[in-house]
Formats: sequence, C-alpha cells, structure tokens
Amino acid sequence: DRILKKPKARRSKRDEDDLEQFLDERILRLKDEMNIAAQKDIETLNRRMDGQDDKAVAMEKVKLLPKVVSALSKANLADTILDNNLLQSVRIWLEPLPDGSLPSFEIQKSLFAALENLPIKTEHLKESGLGKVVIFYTKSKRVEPKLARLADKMVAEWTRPIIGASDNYRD
Amino acid sequence: EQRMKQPVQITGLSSEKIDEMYDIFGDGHDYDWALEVENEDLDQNE
Repeated sequence: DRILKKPKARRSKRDEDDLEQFLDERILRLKDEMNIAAQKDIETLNRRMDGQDDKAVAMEKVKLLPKVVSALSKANLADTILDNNLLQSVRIWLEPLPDGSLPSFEIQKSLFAALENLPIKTEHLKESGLGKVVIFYTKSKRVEPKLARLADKMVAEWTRPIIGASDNYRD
Repeated sequence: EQRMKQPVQITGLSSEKIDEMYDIFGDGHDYDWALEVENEDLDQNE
C-alpha cells in the first residue's frame, strides 16, 4: 500500500535529472540506430548497383520506421528530440539515395507528418541540415503533391522568423 | 511551374538575414544532383 502511495509531487530534482538523462540516452540510441540503418540501406543499394547482388533490397530504414515514428509523435519527447539533434538523422533518412531515388513513400509521409508537429526552431535547422533536404522536396517532381505542399509550407514557416515578416502567425 | 520558383524572395534582406537563410537552406541546390537524375529518367521515358 505504501509503495502505491508514493507521492508524485515530491519527485526530487535528482529524479528529474535522472529522467532527463534517461530520455537523452534513449534518443541518442535511436539516432545511432537510424544512422546505421541508413548506412546499411545505402550499402545494399550500392551492392545492387554494382551488380554484386541483384536481389538485394534495402529494408533497414523501413524496419526501424515504426519505432522512429513512435518516438517522434510523443509530445513529451519533443524537446529531447530537438536538443539531441535527432533531426539530423531524419535529414539523412529523407535524403535521396546514391542512385538518385527517394526513400520509400511510407518513410517520406511518416517523417513529414511527424516534422509538422515538432516545434522546430532556426537553431535546430542549422544543426541538422533539415532545411536543405526539405528544399529538395519542394523541387523534385517525384514528390507526391500533398507532401510537396507540406514541404512548401514548412519552408515558409521556417523562413518567417528570419525575415521577420509580420502576419497572422504566432511565431 | 509554381513549384519550381524560389521558395523565398530574398532581395531587400539584410546580409545577416541572408546568411541565416544560407545556414538553414544552403544555396537551395544541395541535392540538385538527384534532380538531374530524375530529369534524365523523364527524358528516357518520353
């Protein structure tokens, strides 16, 4: 009974620090996993392009995607995600592959949907390079129209605080 | 084509703001190599 009644309000500073560290580590681990998956998929594609393995299919990113989407959609992880530059890995995942092809539509769609809900600031864009790849999505003819519009919208939103345009938006 | 136009009009901005834009978006051509690939593909399909 006593265990159940452990008061939440008395959570110590130390507990909070522990939690923060735990979340940081969780995101940094995910970042590693994402980078490794992207690297493996590139290697698989290179093997196929070289003719070493005709049947090789790059699946690592797709396999990890549910876990990535789950983390990105948790509102309480947003600060941890942005502080630890997980967007850099998102950028790597959205980049065109060595043969010029785009990542799977599922990956594009899921990541863009998640990005839309993150409070991304100028500093996060500078650290991650995400803006550069989103510009590419506004230009490529292979991007699905809905996603291209979303990319346009993001570029406009990210530009606004810099040029200091005043309009109806809160930022 | 509407999507081909520059995402932002940067004339009339201070150099500081322009630098900031570069920091975020690069020169806007970082992945143009992939656009070239797609144009080649489109040409081939026609």
